Amino acid sequence: MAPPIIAAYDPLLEDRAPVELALLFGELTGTPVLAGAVHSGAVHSPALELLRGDTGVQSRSIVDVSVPRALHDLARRQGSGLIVVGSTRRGRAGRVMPGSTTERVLHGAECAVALAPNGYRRRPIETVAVGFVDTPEGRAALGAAHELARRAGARLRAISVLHPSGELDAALANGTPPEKAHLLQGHHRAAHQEALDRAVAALPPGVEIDAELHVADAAETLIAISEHVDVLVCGSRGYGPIRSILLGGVSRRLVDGAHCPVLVLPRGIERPLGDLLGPTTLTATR
Amino acid sequence: MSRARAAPMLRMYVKPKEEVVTTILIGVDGSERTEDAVSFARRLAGATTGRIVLASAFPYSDVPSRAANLTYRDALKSDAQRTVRRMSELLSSVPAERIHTTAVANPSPAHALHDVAEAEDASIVVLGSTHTGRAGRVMPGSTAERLLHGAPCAVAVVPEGYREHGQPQITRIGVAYNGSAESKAAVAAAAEAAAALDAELTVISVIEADIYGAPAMAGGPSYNILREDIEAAVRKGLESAVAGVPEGIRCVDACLEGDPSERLIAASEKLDLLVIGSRGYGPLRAVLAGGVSGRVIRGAHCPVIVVPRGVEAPLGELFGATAKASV
Repeated sequence: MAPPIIAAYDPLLEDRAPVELALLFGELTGTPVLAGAVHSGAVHSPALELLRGDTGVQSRSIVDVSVPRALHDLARRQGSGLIVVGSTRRGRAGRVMPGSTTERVLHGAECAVALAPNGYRRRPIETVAVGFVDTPEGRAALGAAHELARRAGARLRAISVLHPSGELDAALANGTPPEKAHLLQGHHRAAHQEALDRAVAALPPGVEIDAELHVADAAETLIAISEHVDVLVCGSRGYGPIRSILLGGVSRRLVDGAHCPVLVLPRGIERPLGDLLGPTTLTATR
Repeated sequence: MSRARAAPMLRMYVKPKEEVVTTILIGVDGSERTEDAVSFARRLAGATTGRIVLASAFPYSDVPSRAANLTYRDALKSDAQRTVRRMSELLSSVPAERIHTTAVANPSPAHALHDVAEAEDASIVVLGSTHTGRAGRVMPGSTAERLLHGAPCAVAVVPEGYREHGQPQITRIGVAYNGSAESKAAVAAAAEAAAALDAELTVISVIEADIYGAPAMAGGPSYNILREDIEAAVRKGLESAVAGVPEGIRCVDACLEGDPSERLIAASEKLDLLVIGSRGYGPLRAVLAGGVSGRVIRGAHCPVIVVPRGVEAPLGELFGATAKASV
């Protein structure tokens, strides 16, 4: 049987948002879901039986003072490609917002991590969005999002964002003649558009894709777009230990306020969702 | 020795070829927090012999593109170079040949510092706290935050305002110990630092009885018995940790009780430096703040060093590797 998706399940809070999201990914990928119920002491709670009764999801009860460590260990032992975690209850309803546990599950995870918004309930995936940057991490995220969209029969929005200040403004600064500055700005936009088009053109057919270039703040743009899509995919930053999730400047802010589930992929793996989504790479990444 | 220079193309930094020396890396951005960081690094530098590298990133991408604007790049670069030089002047007590400055083109300062730390094989990277934190307290900004997740060497974060009312000397070093391999590495690192700085070392353990307790109905041992068991175990661990600290280092233990991060933050008020390990899971040879270290580094009253996991003596090379703790 395929390695299961691990859903974090707190038997005391009984927050089912991660299980709901894991079941959605499970349906798309034909992967079973295993709920990881971690607590620091002996807990006799009927929550796990109730969960199985309601959803059919098996669970593994683990005693560990560190929830993130236990979830990482469980995922590694099971060979899982995805851990699904929830948002803090202190955040706003319908928004993604990691608590300190989720935060630690994310940082350094060896497999993909999906964050369910506060109060999330399963809904069909009609649109997948992916934040695109022209780096190995960005291209891997695009590929994974594409595969997810194909499985779901969903539309894919590949979104590249160019910050208006920084290098665009830069062209105008420091006595560069206005005509030349204008030309440089054009080049800059064109270079981003071309990189996006090139990456999209390289994807296999079968998914309706919108490739969008926005000139704005990347995190703000993606958070705004997350209101209108069903899942948002992003890669890890491009430095630090490989084969692990590491949030960068944009992804850090995305997981702090997105309106839809966010799927974060580890870096240093060519097909980060390979084990989960593609039978062809079952052995390639491990 | 030649000055370290940023490579002209791509977001890479290449260190000039030379013999292996230890490096203290300071992240520089021209704000007052950099003065805090430099102020702490100066104290470390006094007890070490290696290089001090001040690195500043300027927001320019060296990915080849038609939109490249070299005039602008040069302007940004000379700005950044001016800043690092200005900050390096604060290191007047350190011999000039030990001080190196570099300005790196990278839109992400954390990425730039990570690259320099790897290229330099730095022992530690020192950063100031964000200006939005509380005065006198440690609070990583977004750059320090990213280095605390995955940096290849120890990360020090210095409290806001350290430049003004820091102690002239580091005389009291604390280290958090909970028996884990990561905390043993922290004790080893702190012992190295204490030996080099001639400081007193306090090995701190916190008894956290609550989390092990079972509700009365569950029929397990009561809180009181558990508490005694845990205290005995913690004290025993603490004793062996102190016994493992090399001869010649003044070392005491402190057994506190309560929430570990709160107790450590409170203890940091009476310390000049607190050393803490990374969490016990995740990538090796990288810094990763965990549940306790993550909170301590968002509130400590003195500079905090988080040492990477999977490295036996994280600050050994920096402080001369003479003291070898075996805990």
